[in-house]
Amino acid sequence: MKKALYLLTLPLLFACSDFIPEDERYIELPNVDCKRNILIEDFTGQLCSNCPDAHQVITKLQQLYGENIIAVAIHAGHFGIAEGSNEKIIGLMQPEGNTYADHLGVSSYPAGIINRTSGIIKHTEWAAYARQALEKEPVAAINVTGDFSADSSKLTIKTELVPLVNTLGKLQVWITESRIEAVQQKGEDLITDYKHHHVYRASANGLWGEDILLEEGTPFSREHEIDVKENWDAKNLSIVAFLYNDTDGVLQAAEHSFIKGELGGKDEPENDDPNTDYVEVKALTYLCDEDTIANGSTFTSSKLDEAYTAVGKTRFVPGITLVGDRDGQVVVTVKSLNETMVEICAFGGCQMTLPHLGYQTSATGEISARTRIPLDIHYTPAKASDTYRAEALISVYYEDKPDEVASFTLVMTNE
Amino acid sequence: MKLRKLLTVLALAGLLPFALTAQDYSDEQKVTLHGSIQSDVLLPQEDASIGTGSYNNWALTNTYADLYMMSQYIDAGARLEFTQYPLPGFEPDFQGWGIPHLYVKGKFKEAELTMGDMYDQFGSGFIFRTYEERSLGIDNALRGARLNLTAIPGVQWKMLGGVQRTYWNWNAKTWIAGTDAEINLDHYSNTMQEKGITWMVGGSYIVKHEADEDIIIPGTNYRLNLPQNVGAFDVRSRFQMGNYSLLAEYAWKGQDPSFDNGYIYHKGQAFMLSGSYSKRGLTALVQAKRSENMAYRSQRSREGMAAHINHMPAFAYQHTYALPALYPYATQDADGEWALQGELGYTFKRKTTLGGKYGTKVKLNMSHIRALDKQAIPSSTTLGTDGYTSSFFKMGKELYYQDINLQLEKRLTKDFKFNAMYMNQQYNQTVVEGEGDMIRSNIGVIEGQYKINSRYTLRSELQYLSTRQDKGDWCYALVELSALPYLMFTISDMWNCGETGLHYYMGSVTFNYEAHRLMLSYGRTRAGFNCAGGVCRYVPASRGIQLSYNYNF
Repeated sequence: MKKALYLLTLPLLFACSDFIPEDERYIELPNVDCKRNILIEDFTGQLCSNCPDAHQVITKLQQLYGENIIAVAIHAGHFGIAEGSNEKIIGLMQPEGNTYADHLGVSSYPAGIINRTSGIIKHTEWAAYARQALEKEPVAAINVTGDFSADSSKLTIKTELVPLVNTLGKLQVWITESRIEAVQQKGEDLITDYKHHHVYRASANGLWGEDILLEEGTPFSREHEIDVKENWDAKNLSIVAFLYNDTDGVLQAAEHSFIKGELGGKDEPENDDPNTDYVEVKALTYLCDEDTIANGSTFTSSKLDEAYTAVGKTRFVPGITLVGDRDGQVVVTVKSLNETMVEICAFGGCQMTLPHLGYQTSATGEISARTRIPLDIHYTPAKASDTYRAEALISVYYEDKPDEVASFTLVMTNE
Repeated sequence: MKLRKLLTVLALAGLLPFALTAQDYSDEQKVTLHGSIQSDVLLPQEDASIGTGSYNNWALTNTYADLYMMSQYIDAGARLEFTQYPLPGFEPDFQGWGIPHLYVKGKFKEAELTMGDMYDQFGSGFIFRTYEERSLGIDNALRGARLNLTAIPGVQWKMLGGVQRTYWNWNAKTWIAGTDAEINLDHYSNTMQEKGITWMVGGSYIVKHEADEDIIIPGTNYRLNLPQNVGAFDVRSRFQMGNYSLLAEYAWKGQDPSFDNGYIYHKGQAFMLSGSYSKRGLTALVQAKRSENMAYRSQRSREGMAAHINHMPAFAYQHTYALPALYPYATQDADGEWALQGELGYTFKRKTTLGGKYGTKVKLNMSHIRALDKQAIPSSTTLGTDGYTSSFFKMGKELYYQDINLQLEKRLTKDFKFNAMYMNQQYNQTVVEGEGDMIRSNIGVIEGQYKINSRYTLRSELQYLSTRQDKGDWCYALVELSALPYLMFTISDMWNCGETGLHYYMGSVTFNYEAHRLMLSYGRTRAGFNCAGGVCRYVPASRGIQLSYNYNF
C-alpha cells in the first residue's frame, strides 16, 4: 500500500511548467530597416466573426510601418457575401476572390499571404513575417499613379518600374476601395455600419496580370484604363501594383491612393467632409489632428501609443502631419534639443536622432499639394522611469527653396 | 522518399496472405494475425443547387488497412493509409499516403514496453488523450515509447514520451512526456472487497516542450516571451458501491499562450463530478463539468483538428437520428464552459399497465451548457495578458447549448416494435459555427421495425424538425428492407420544407458476407458538421456515387 501511494508522487518528478511573471512577458526587438514594400493579401469574409481581428492587425502594421505595408482584403469563401447577391446587403465578394483563394489554397478564414512567399498564415503570424519581409532587398522600384475622369468614369493608371536586377515576372494591377460601410460579423455581433478598407474591387490587367521582362537599370512603364463602376466611390479608391513570379513571390509592390489624409488604417475614417480635406496653407504647415501648429511655436504632446501601453511600455506618438501648398520634394529635419533619440518615419523609411549623428536626422520625400502627409515622429524611452521628456526642433522646407523653412519645437512628455 | 514509402508498403503487403490464417503452434508459441480494411470512395458530381463546388478528381477516397500481430511476448501492428485524394471537407494537410502507424510491443510478466506509434489516455482525457477518429480525420498518435507496469498489486503505472503526429508530419520541435498512476484501494481492504466496493484514485502529469517562436504584438517591436515547457496534471477518484458510482476529477494546466486562447497566459483548469445509479430497470446519471482554457496542443499556433494533446469529453447527448443530429454541439475547449447533464432511464415491466405485454423503456435526457462568467482584463491587446478573471462557481449569461429529449422504446407484438422521441433543442450557432442565430427547435422522431418473416425485416423512420431560425423546418423519412442474411436496401430523403425546398435523397444497397461489408449508395449529402465526442468537422455538400467496403479478420 505504501509503495502504491509513493507511486502517486512520481508525477511530481516531471513537474516542470514554465511560469512567466507579468513583467517578463515582452521582449524588445530591434527596429526594422524597411527596404521595400510588402503585400498582404487578407482573405476575409463579411460573415467571418474573427476576421475583424485580422483587419486590426493590418491597421496596426500600417501604423507602425506606414506605406511599406500594402494590404488588399480579398473577400472569398463561404463567409463572403457576393456582390449583388442581396438587394438589402452590400456584398463585397468578387468572383475573382474565390479564384485567388482556391489557387492559393485558402480554406479557412481569416488567413493571409504575405508576398506570396509566406504560405497561408494566420493573422497572429503576420507581424513576425512582415518584419523579415520588410528587410529584404528589393529587386525593383515601382511607382504607380492614377487619374480619375469624372466625365468618362474611367481610371487611367500608369505604372513605372525601375528594375535593379534582370527580372522575369508578371505585373498585376488591382483596384481597391476603402471606407466602404457594410455589414460585418464581429464576434457574436453583426455590425451593420462596419468600415471596410482595402477591399479588392477589380483587376485592371486580367486575373493573373501580364508577363513582363525587366532589364537591370532599364525603366519600364505600362498604362492601363479601367471603368469605375457605379457602386465604387472614386475618392476612396486605391491602385495597387505589384511585380511577382511563381518562384520568388511578390518582388515589389506600390500603392496610389485617392484617399486624402492617412491611408486607411483606422476603423473610423478621418473627417469625411470634403471641405476640410483641403487646408488653406502658406507654403508648409504642421498639424496635429485638426489643430494648426504655428510656425516657431512650441507644441507639447503627451499622447501615447496604446499598443505599447498595453504591453507596459511607453511610446509617445504626437500624430504630426504636414501639408504643403504645392507638389514638390521636401526635406524634414529633426534635431533633438535634450539629447534624446527621437525617430521619424516618413516617405517610406525611418530615421532616428542618434548620438553619433549629433542627435539629428532628416527625411526627404515627395508631397502633393494640399494633401496631409503623416510625419510619424515618436519617442520611445529606452529606460523605464516615472517621467519622460523629449524636446526636438522639427523643420521642413521645399528642396528648391531651402531658405523658406517652417519649424516648431515639439515636446513629448508626461510631466 | 516516395520510393522508400512504396517499398515499405509492398513489403508489408507481402505479409497479407499470411494474415488470413492464424498460425497455431503450442499455446506458448501461438501467433495470431488480425486486421481490417476500410475504404470509402466517392465519385462526385457537381450540383450547384446544393453548393457542392467543383472537383479536380473523378474519384475521392479515404482508405485504411490495418494489420496486427499478437503473441505471448511480442505484439506488432501497422496501418496503411491512402488519402491522397481525400473525401471532401478534410483539412489540406490530411492529403497524403503511407504507413503513418507502426509499433512493436514487448510483454514480460508485469511489464509492457511499446515502441512506435501509440494511443493512450490519462483518466477522462482532460490532459492527455491520443486517439483515432477517421470520420473527423483525427489521428494524434504519439510516436515514441511507453512503459506499462503492474508490478505492484492493485496499481497500474505508465510512463510515455515522444512526438505527436500531425497528419503526415511528426513535429520534432515539440516533444511530450508524461506519467500516469492508478491505485485500486479496494485491493488493500478486505472490508471493501467483502462489501463489493471498488475505489480507485489516480494521478497523472504531462509536459510538452515546444521550441520558441516569434509572436509579435502588432504595431510594436515587442514579441512574447513564450513558455517553452507547458505542464498539466490531473487527479481523480472513482468510487463504486453496489448500484452507485461516483467519479470526481480535477485537472490543471500551466501558462499556455496559443492561437486558441489569443495568446493569453491564463492557466487552465477543469473539474468534473459524475454520479450514477444503475440497477435492472432503472438507470440515473447526473454530471457536471467546468472547464476553462483547456485547449492543449503540441503546436501553440495550430488551429483546426490537429495537434491536440488532450480531449475534453462531450457533455451533449450524441444523437444518431438525422434531424436531432442536424445541429451538433462542439465542446469549447479554449473558451471554456459550464456543462450539466442528466439522464434517467426506466423500464416499465412486462405485463403491467404501462409496460404492456413486452415492457416499455423510457429515457429522459437533459444537457445544458453555458459560458463561464468572465471579466475581461482591460487592455487594448490580450496578447501577453492573463486575458480575464473568472469566478469558479458563477455561470455566464450566454447559453451555448441545451437539449431535453424524451425517448420511448416499446415492442407491441412479437414482430413489431417502435421507438419514439421528442426533443427540444437550443443551439448557439455563433459560438459553435462562428456565425448565425440561436436556433430553437422542436423535433419529433418515430421509428418502426416490423419483422415480416424470418428473412425479411422492414424498418422505417419519420422525423420532423420545427424551427423559425436558419433554414426553417426539415422533414426526414427512411425506409429500410433487410433481406437476411446478406442484403439490405435503404432509401431516405431529408427535405428542407422550411426555406429552400431542397431534397437530400439517398438510396443504398448493403451486402454482408461473413466479415465483409459492401455498401453502394447514390444521393445527396447536405453541408453540415460531422461530430464525434464533442469534436466537429465541417463537411461540404456532396452528391454522387458512394462505395464503402469494410473487412475485419
